[in-house]
Amino acid sequence: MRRRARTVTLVAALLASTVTACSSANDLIIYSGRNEQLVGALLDQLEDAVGIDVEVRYGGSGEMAAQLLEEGQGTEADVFFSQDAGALGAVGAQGRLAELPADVLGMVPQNYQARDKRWVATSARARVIAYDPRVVEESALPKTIEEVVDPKWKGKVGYAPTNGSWQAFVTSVRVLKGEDFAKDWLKKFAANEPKRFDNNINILKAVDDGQLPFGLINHYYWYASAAEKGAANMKAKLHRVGGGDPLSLVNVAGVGVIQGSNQSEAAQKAVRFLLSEQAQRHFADVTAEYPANPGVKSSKHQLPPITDLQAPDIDLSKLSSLQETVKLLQEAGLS
Amino acid sequence: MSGLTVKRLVAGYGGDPVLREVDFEVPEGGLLAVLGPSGCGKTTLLRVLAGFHPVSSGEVWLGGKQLTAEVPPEQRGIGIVPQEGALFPHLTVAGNVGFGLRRGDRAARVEELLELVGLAGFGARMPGELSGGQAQRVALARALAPRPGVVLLDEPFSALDAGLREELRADVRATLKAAGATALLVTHDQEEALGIADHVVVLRDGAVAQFARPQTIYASPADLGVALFVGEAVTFAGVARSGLVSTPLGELRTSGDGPGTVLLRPEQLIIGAAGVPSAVDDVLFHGHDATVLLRLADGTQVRSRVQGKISVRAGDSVSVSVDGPALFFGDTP
Amino acid sequence: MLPLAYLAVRSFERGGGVVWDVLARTRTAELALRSLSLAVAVTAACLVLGVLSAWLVVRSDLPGRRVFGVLLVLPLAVPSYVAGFTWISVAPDLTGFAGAFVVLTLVSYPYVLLPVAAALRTADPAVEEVARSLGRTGRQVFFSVTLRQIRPAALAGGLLVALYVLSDFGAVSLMRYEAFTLGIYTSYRATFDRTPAAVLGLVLVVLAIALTVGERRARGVVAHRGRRQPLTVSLGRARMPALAGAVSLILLTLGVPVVSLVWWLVEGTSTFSVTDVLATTGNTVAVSAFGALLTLLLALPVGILAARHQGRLVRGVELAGFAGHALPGITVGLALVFFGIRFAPALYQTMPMLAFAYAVLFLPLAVGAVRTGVAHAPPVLEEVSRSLGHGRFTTGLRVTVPLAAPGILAGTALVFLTCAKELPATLLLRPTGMDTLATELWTRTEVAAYAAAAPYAAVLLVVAAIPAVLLDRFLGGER
Repeated sequence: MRRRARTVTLVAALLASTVTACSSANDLIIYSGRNEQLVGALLDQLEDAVGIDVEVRYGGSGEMAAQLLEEGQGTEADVFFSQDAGALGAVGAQGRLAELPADVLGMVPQNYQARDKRWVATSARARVIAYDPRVVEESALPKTIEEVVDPKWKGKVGYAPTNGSWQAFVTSVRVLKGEDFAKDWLKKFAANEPKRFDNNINILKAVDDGQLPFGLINHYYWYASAAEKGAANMKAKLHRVGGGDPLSLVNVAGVGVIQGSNQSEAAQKAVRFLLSEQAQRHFADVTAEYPANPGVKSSKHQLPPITDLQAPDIDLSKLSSLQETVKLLQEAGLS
Repeated sequence: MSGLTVKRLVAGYGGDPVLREVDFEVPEGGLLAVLGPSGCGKTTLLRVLAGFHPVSSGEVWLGGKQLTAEVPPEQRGIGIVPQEGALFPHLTVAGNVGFGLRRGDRAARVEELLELVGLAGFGARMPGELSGGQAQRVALARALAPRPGVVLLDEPFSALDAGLREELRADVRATLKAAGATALLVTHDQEEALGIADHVVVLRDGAVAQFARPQTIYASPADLGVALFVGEAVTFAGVARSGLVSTPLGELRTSGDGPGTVLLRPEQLIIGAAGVPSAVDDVLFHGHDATVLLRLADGTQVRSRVQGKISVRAGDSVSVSVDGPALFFGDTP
Repeated sequence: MLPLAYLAVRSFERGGGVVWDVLARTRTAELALRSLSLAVAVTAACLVLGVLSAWLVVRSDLPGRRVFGVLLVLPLAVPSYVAGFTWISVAPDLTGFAGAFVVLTLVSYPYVLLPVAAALRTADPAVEEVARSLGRTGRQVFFSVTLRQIRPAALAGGLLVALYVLSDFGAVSLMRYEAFTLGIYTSYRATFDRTPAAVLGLVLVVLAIALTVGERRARGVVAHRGRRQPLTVSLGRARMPALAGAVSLILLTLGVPVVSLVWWLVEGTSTFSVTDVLATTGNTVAVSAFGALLTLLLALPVGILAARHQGRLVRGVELAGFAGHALPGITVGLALVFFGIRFAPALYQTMPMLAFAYAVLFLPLAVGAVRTGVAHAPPVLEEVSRSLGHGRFTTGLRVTVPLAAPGILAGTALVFLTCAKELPATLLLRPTGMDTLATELWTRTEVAAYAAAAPYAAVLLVVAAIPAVLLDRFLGGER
């Protein structure tokens, strides 16, 4: 009898705890595919900016896109904040994102927003070459993707095959240059005996330690390391290829307002906040990403403005046909 | 408490029925033994009565109420005492006995029953701490506690040793009588069936071979098969004519006519001064009595049961006579 | 059943042609084959490790076997992605099939150890004594009698391992072994297309059903329990090697993650807050307990029926449960998103819904344990209870459940610790703003904040250790 009473109490307590955890329809609810460690502190400041309570739900961008699509009209989400453009594109393509007002879109360069006006980039990250100036001069480095596979670089290039950015880069090669070119390029790349690494950090470390002439990484790893050691102590330097070459591919994190949100006004305020100087400086300082609002500069890192990146002209929400990319990489023996 | 009536009961597991038109009744407060060899349908009968196995046809009545398939086991008012007791290992003795009781009068009734089975003060023990006989008593108390219409006992003494078995048999009978319970006990042990019950059903191949009082079953078995099953026997082939039959033990009084089998119980063979000569092959001593194996002049071996002091030994020459009439079963053409 | 319905809806919403296209890709068959071969290899290794360690803990005179009994179960608490991470940091060259094989074997062999240990504890020692008396040596008895007695338990555990391997994404993705779940995740993460993911999910369901039916064929009959304590076998000269084996198994399964955790804490620069860790722990315990209780409630009728009857309906329900277990958490999570928001919007993203998701995912763990437990309880006791005036339900509650208690408790504890480390469905269905140890661990490891992640991983191990200790208590010698 006593045992039964205890069980009942336990169940009741559990049920009670669920009720308190319920979020209210009067709150602004944000689905964030960006990691809490990177943006949590920033989103905590959102309540002041939008004037109502804010609830943030964190997850993976791809999974959240799938969740938003499954939820459909019934969703409680008002804002989707995504780590990459592909997830935003998928949700927008199903009509689940609302068009953004012109003044919001006006805060961001045109090539960093959706062509259907349903999302804008909030920050950007670029592919770069990290090189060791003690071994190779910047002028001698590849200026195009074709030059990377020159036999003179045999055994001298580092890459991280499991990294999502590398795979997005290969996808961009396919999209920009065609399947045949991509296949041929990967074949040559593999034949050149590139050095494989687990992640970008280790590539940068190898370059910095003088063990690797150059490697293909994302730009912010260099800034993170420089912030830790002091920029002057960095042996490794960054080389921006530019010229619209896939080697200078830029991917973005971005945000959109959910179609049919009952808090669309607050949601738009949230988007404006993410493009505001305060938030943009946060991205530039904390993550060393390029602010999507070209008017904002990092107070911590020496970042060129986003408009100078000379990124390839590519629909960022198309950087998603990964299955074919994975297959191609496998065929080339690079997975 | 009330009587149990079984009419033309048929049940089985698909294929040939295991119980074929079984009829019997147990009067209120009566104790019936169902006796039969293994595989005769005893267990199926119990399961059918308790409601764990469906009836193919026929009727079961308990206290003027018919127990159809719609009456589930828990509403039948039939208690069971399984083989080896099957006490709930996770409950105390008192918990076991009180299992079928409502909360109100539970404690008092449990005490009453433990006293009835001679285990007063054992309430707090766990089943693992009981001997086999004690476990059986608890199982009986448990079955009796809710005052069932009838109690079914499934080979309740089979796992006990001989001395204990006899003692417990008497105790169980006394307990059932004291409780005024109607009971049905199945067993393959004829001594047990004849010794405990008011009435006995002999079950053979799923059908009732005989339903009578124990004395009747023993003294006037319905057929040779029953006669051989319910007790030791000495048999000869013979032809009966006008109340007499000729056997190696001489002319014997009997009933019947024509060719058949003559059957004597070993206690009818008396070793003494009179009778036909025979040699003692061996003496099997049982304590309270003994069986003497005798070799007759024509070479057949017969058994005699002797009470009291045994005065013969193997190799002795003795005379043997027959006490009372012999049973006779005519050959079926 | 819900996940299956969802997969069917999503698969065929664009017509059968798309389904066929996905199935006809050579890559689909290739991935299926890769996943199956991994499942077979891991299951075989787990059967050997699980049976041997169970025997050592229950039947041998291994020094400190009670402690081993707890430690050997603990790897269950290590999420496969944590095990993967730590192994990569310890042995960077261990990747691909070998890496996935090692990591998955080391985290999932307790699925075999637990049921086999329980079976060894309740097996009738008389059978072994008879075999010895008939002239068999100890070793012969082990192979001819003991193994046969524990076969149903070992196979049931092996099935769980196989299904778990099929459903795992964390370890295989970290070890860069391209398994079937990769196709599913790629579909969600990279192409944002739910149809291929659903079709591939259905293929997993088919594989799971085939495995489950195969296990059922091979399972055999569960022996009723003996009345005496199991015999203890003296290891003799094998004592030291056995001890060394058990210790090295624990070093591999627990030592690697624990050493890595300590290393992260010492080396890392990221920080953590004690109050956050405590609050998250509370959430995790509450939601896992809720999930385990709900799973148990659903598993009891299914498990009891499965043990006592062989009806088609019961088999169907059991089968559907096992099929769900082979699906990755994201698929089950999305299925519940799909149904939850349509049919129970009030419960959507609440604790009950999350607990229900756990029940769908982990029902087989509990059903298997309940079924084994019930099969060990003699049916005659239920009949006695019925004859004493208690209906089916009361009898189940007052007789069957208490008798099967060790098995039921083991199942509940198993579900509890599996809930505690579950990630993908938790991310989708948790109440907005509620964090569990697993989600916090994920958040931090994703951005390589290992030092901040370490305390969460450590607490997760401790939380899971509690049911592991209870498991040993209830299955242990103190009967």
